[in-house]
Amino acid sequence: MKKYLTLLALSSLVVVSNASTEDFNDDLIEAKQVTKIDESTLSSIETKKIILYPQYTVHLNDKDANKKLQNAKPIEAEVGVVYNKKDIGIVIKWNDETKSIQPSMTTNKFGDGTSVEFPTVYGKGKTLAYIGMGDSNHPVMVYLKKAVEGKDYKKAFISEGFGTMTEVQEKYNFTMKYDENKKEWTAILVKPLKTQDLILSGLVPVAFAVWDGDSLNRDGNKMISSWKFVKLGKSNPDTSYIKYISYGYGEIGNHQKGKELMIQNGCNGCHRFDDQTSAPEGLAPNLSKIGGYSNPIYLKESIINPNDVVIKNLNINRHYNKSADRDKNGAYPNNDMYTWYIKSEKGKLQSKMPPYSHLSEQDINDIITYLKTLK
Amino acid sequence: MSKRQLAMVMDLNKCIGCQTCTVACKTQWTNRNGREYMYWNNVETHPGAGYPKNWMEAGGGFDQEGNLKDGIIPDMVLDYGVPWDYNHDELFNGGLLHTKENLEYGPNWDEDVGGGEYPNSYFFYIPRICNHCSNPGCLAACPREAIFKREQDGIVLVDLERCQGYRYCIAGCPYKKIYFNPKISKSEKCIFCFPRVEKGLPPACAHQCVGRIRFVGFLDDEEGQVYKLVHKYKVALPLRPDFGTQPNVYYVPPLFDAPKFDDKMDSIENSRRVPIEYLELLFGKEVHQALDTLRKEMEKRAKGEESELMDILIAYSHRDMFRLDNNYYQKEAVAKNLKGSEFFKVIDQRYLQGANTKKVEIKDYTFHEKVLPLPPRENGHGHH
Repeated sequence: MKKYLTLLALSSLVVVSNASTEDFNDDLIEAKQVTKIDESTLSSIETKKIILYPQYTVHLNDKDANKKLQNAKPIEAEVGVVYNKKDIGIVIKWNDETKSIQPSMTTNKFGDGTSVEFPTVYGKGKTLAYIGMGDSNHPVMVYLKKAVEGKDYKKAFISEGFGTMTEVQEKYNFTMKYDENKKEWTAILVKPLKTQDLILSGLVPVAFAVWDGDSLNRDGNKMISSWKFVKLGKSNPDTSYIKYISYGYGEIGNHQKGKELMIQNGCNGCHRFDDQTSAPEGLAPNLSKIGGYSNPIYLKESIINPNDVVIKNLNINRHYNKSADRDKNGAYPNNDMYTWYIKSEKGKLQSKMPPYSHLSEQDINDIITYLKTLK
Repeated sequence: MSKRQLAMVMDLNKCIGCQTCTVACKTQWTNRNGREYMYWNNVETHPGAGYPKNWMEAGGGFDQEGNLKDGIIPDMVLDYGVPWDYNHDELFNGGLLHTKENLEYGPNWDEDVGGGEYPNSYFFYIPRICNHCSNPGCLAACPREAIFKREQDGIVLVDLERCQGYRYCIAGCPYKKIYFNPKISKSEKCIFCFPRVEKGLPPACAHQCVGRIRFVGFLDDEEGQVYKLVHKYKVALPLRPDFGTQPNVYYVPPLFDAPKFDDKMDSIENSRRVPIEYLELLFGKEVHQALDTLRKEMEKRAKGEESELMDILIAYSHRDMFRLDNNYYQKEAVAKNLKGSEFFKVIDQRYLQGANTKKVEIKDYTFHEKVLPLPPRENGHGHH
């Protein structure tokens, strides 16, 4: 209740904390209303510190990138948001000792980059989208900026899970500049508040990602934040929505008990996490780093109602079934064991994970507490 | 995965390493637009590091359980090699000829080096294109699902609208036959000359081959020479079948192989310079059976008896070597009531528009035009 009250006093600046899931106020970004949005307004506005964590849900197949991934560490970024009647402007600053611009004549070098993600479905009565490219119930818009030699590489995508990202045409600006003295990137995104696919108003979930070219980052191999919440406009957001999205911040349970509960309930039969590595890699999302970029309420929804956030698995052709018959061209069929969902006759996706809604509130909170430690 | 599968057979006994295929491919597809360093078709000396350097140790493909394996992305300078320039201008002032850059590697770097110690050294050539695998490693590795096998012939293509240049495909292909185009920041590969194939012409590499070592056809066409070499006589074998991708380029393994010399430089009877273990590594245990069949059929022919297999391998006629099924593609188009360039649009819709693409409005047809340089013809070409 105490947290709930502080939320209503949104205008007061909150003390920055290191852990993203300790205080909901740390995840709130108040947007400043301005008349003109340009580089100078954005570079002078107050920013908020956020932490981006290495993303790891599925094993990707680049041997060199995987070696670097073992040493991946969370990074800090500063973000600030402004808006006027038409547009929203976002500034993202982060330190990067190794400036990488994808060169025009190499095969194995990657550029630094950043992206901003918004769910197209949010607000009162709506659940949170899966942070990694959205899910079938919550398509997301992703604005991507990459440092590529000789190119203004910026793209806007709509996506509803791995492999579904589809480019859309939209008018917006996204720039990225490196300060050699500070060893710092500053990226600025300015886009309309309203487009065909996305309407930004009220309390808007937003997530940030950063790619480090030197670490061979690209695609899902990146640093990503949990959902942050940008407050646009003067009116107070719906209190029930705030109560919903601020669920589970701070101390809500016992992490050791949470781990025991996950093992007792057989989560490790499909998921890998921590020292639990008996499940085949790729059978279900790997939870080893889930705590860094997942909001507590998302974790709760995933446990009690997995069908709400069905995540499309990565390319199913990565696993084929050696015990099945080959077709006339010698091809083995895919191994369906590795699909994370079942498609109904009407084409609706249903998660293969059963709902664990029968668990007690405290058991669920213990599990969330444990999952929060995995990062 | 596909309804039918096109395949190519290459008879290694007749490959002289002249690189005509390489040049045919390069001038047709890869001498421009960021593809300069790529060789969709290359001919390499075996044993050898090949192209890109040590590709057989670069990972990718599938493990015994059918799961995709990790791989690496070769370096443009160190592993592929970039085209280099010479200091021709300086020669007028008395300078000596040298390259402008330090050379690290190239696509034919270890030509004719081979294996074995003099006088028992040996080598043979292997021309390599994309294998258009039945379980492609590149296709499996793509997080964007931007690579697909064409339903009508199993040709593996990159959907350039969906490709984002992540390059997991390059790590996933155990043959390293998909390349990163740094100019457009997307992956590109051998397209089995599909615009030619759809007109009834074989891929340029096969058509230009002076040794007539290449056969092209559908794997299920029992009258075709490809079918006979692969399935009837079983003398054509996939390269590195242990990589687990079910490749569709097949090789007739080298049978001719000089005997070894002894200390007095006399040849040792029944000896082979090429170690059979190396052939097993390349073509699997089936290589024994294939070589036996080839030997027996040769003996039959030497005795004046009939041998269909030897007749096929002599490669009398392009008409028989390249059997693209009597205008199969044209019939597919007619069945859909299409003509001219419409035909390509529908057959290759996914080359433009992704399997999962819904909202994208395709605005740029330039790639499509680049791969279809010929104006539509009213009458489909016959066999040559």
